Amino acid sequence: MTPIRGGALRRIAFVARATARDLFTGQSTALVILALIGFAVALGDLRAASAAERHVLALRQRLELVVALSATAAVLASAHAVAEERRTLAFARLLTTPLRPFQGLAAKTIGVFAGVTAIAVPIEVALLLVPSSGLLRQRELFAPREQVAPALVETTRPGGERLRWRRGPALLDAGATLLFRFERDAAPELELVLPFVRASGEPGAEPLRWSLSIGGSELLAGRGVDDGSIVAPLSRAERGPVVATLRGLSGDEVLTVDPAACILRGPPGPILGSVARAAAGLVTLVFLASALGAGLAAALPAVLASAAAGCLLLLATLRSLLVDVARALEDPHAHVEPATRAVAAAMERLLSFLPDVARAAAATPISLGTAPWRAADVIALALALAFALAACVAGAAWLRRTAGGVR
Amino acid sequence: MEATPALVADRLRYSYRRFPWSRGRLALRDVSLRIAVGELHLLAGANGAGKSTLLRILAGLERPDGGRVTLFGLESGDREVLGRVAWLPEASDAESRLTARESVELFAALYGFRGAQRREQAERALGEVGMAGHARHQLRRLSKGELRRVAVAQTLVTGAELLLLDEPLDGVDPEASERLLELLTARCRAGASVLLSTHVLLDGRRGGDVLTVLDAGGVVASGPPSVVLERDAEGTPISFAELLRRARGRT
Repeated sequence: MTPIRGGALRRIAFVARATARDLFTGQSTALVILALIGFAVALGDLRAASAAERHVLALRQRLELVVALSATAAVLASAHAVAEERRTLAFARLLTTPLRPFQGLAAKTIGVFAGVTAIAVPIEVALLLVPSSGLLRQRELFAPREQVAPALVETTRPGGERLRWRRGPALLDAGATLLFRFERDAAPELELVLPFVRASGEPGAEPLRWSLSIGGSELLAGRGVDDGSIVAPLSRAERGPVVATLRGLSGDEVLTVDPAACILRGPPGPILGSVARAAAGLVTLVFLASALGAGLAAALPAVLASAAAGCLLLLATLRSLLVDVARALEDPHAHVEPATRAVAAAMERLLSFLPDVARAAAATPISLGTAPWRAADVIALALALAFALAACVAGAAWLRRTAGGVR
Repeated sequence: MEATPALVADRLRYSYRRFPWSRGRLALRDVSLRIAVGELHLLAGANGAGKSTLLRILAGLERPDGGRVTLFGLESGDREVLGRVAWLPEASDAESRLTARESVELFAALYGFRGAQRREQAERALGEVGMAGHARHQLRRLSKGELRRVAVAQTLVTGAELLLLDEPLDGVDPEASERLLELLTARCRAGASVLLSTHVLLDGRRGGDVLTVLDAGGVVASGPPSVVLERDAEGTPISFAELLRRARGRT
């Protein structure tokens, strides 16, 4: 009886299938119940300015719940599967077969990933397509749009003093100007979106009169804040950067503008782009969670491996928020202890190594006027996959060193 | 010219160490073993004698502190050896939700069998160990003895030339044990080599070409079972405990 030599991919596929099968038979009911509970929780009331906004927020919240539950399930399942294999010497046994340690761990990761996504993806697709609250109800809300952030924002005070804006809100009063420079050729299909945060002043103060000009020619003018934001289509095509200037003309009120939210926005694209991004985010995150759980469980007990993988995922998911906090603390004008500043700097350096999983996560791209695929999205997904690969390589090295995790 | 033996272990030494620099507890001391092609070699010893450690070293999972292992004339750990050796650990996967047939098919696939041939081999192996009727049962639903029989089927299905079986008869009833030994003997006659460890002494008349007895990490007796298993004045084979007492007395 001479065995036929098979390829590594075939062996990985077979172990992965057995892992998924084992997981599916045992845990699928629990996972579906968890997802249903989450779904029910996500149906709660949401506060939003309009019915359309509520619709978007509700869908995002439900999708985020599916992502969070899927990632949690993947971490727990992969850590448990690898720890169980170590305990029963099954991993050690696999290592005496033609399967290599990395192949074995990768197969476990893929098996758990396949098992979890087989449940999560249909749930996500169902959420996206629910007639009353899915993507198809108000599809224009979910169409991806090109978004160009300003390369430069400059404020000019009434006295003529010029300041380059870096972060936080910018104030506009009579005699002041706000200049936005976008590194993009002007085109008629683009529109400028300029949201006001609020207007403030003494009771009975005269509303601020303002004007908006683009490339030197006045486009719009108004008084105070009516609907909270200006949306001004660019009327003509022109080469060179788009420069928008908002001037405070007269009045006692002060308008607060959030320059970070001022963008040049393109026309709505096909809705499939949003769905593809959501799906890519979900599967990448679940794969990363499976690999982290499996890689850590090669060396740690299942509970510790799950906790460590969960913490790493949380750090990666909250990366943007934590980087903002760290930068705020590092600011020389912030009133913080030097030690806190040093910790913030160290945290920012540490976070720079983590992929921005929130960018890749499924729910984030499903939003009002979301941007289409960008290089940064692809980099975030690739970085997450590289992390998953690194976790498997490190776990496999440990398994080889410890005879399948026995020692 | 003598044929290349399936396995040669020469003066193996091994200590359990908590840390690489710590002194550790001696598990194997100068253990030498030789298994010819087509030989059924029984490895007997009390609990903690070092049988499982020896099998793990022979399977290439552990590196000995001293000594050398060659399999089919190749160094242990050589990639050429993988696929020619199958190791059965002492633990069983009692929680798995895979069916008996799926679990056996998995090992057939790992050793390169495909499609219909894989299924046929899995069914045949299960039939050989008397588990054909349990092919569709999940492993977690099987008894301890049934699990061991499925585990033996997982090893047999690989078609490996050398089988390293750690306590394959643990929990298996006497009738099934006898059947498994007959099966393994038949495999050896067909050209395979088997090293089978057990903590109960087997009756030499039922099988086994060579019996090696390990005690406290060392070989205390080795040879044909009829020679190793001394008989008392009435011609009855002596008990295992008595054999160990006599061997310890000699050493």
